[in-house]
Amino acid sequence: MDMGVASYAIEYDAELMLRVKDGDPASFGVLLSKYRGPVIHYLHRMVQNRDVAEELAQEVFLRVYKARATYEPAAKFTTWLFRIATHLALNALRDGKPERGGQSLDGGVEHADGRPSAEQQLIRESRLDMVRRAVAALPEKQRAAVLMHKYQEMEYSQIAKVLGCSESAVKSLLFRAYETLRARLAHLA
Amino acid sequence: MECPLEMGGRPEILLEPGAERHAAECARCRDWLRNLETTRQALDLWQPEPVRPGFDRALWQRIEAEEARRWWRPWRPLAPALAAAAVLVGAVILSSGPEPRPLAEFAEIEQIEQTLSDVQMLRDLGLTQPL
Amino acid sequence: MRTWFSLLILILWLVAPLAAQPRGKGILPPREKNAQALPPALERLYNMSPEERKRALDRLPPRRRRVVERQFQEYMKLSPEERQAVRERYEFFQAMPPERRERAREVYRHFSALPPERRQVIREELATLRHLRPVERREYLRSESFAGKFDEQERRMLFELAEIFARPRRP
Ligand SMILES: [Zn+2]
Repeated sequence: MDMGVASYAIEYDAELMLRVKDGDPASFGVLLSKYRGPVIHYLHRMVQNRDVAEELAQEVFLRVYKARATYEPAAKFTTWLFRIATHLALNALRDGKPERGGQSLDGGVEHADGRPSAEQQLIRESRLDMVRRAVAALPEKQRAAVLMHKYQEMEYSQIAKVLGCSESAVKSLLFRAYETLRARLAHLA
Repeated sequence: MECPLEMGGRPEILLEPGAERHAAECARCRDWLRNLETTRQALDLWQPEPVRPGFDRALWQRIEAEEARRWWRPWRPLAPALAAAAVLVGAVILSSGPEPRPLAEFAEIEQIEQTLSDVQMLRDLGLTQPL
Repeated sequence: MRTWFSLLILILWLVAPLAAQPRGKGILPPREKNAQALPPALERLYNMSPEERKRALDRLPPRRRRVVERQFQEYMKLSPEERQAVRERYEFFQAMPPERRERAREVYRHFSALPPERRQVIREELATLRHLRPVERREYLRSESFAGKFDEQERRMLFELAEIFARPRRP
């Protein structure tokens, strides 16, 4: 059984992007369907507002498409993609965009694997709310690092490239972030 | 290895692969790593919400608008002449060949194909049985 | 101004018969009112007019086109509850990191190549494994009773699928 899929997947993204560069929009569609979820979820957790997250995600993919002519597969495609997403998220946070949208820390559709009782649902929601608030309270760069590390399962080296800092700086960001989260979420254990 | 949690140590070393070896003989670091695992599990509570339908369509519309604008800019002074020519060309195409396909359509069918094959996989693995 | 007007008439004259053509019968199920519980991409296919569908499907080589048509028909035959369950599971899948999704597809390609009876056994085993906690699962996968039932390739397949599709732990 072939185990080298990770590298295959990387090359495949770059290849798709090169095809977009050659004028094949279908390949952009494949990249979009592959990454629209991860990018929106990352932005949602980053800015804590679903509408703003989707608006920013549109901008991310629009920028990727517009930059196709100058695309060079020097870095992993996802590194480039998340660098754009992070840049836009940080700008939006600086401009106070999520607050302007009204409902920060918005709730949303819960899709648990079964049908929990109303009481279980309430407990679940209040715990979820604590997690959201704990993440929201992190300084922006720590938040970005944790989201990429935890939810996107990215490696330190890749997070470093996205954030434009050294690997040891990433580890230090993550250490502080996890320390803060632990203090805030200890009672959930 | 010196204890990363000691004063003046580099605690972020605990996030490196070798940390378990040190933790095996250091209760404090063992504790820290266990807490890290619990914290990360707490974060699992925050599952993502489904992407709302219409996202792709809106994006393709923006891309098309953008493309049209870019293409159009240098030609603006020649607008009337170009419009007449375009109408003529359009008429010829409509009466003879297949109509031109919009950009979005190219991408759409491959996404649909991918979705169907993913759905097939999930069903085939028995993962979609209602519980 | 008169040139413009005649051109417009010309266009209308050319376009009108196209628009008035009766809608050809598609091979895919007809549109019905109840389109909910479709993943977005399938909802788009569902909402296309027969002409749009034909045009979109014509983009694919015949073999892939037939697969798409068959899979979509099968999907539309599901009951609304089944469709809902599929959609929910699909959304979980869609939310996974891309590398993990790609890995799942790769393992599934190997799975599909197995004979039907082996697939059934693996399917049942996977259902059990997904409900175990990570520690229990690893222990079970190391056990002799497990090793006795599957060959090396199947064990790796199950191990990976169980990791990828582990049920999220309830708080
Ligand atoms: Zn120590």
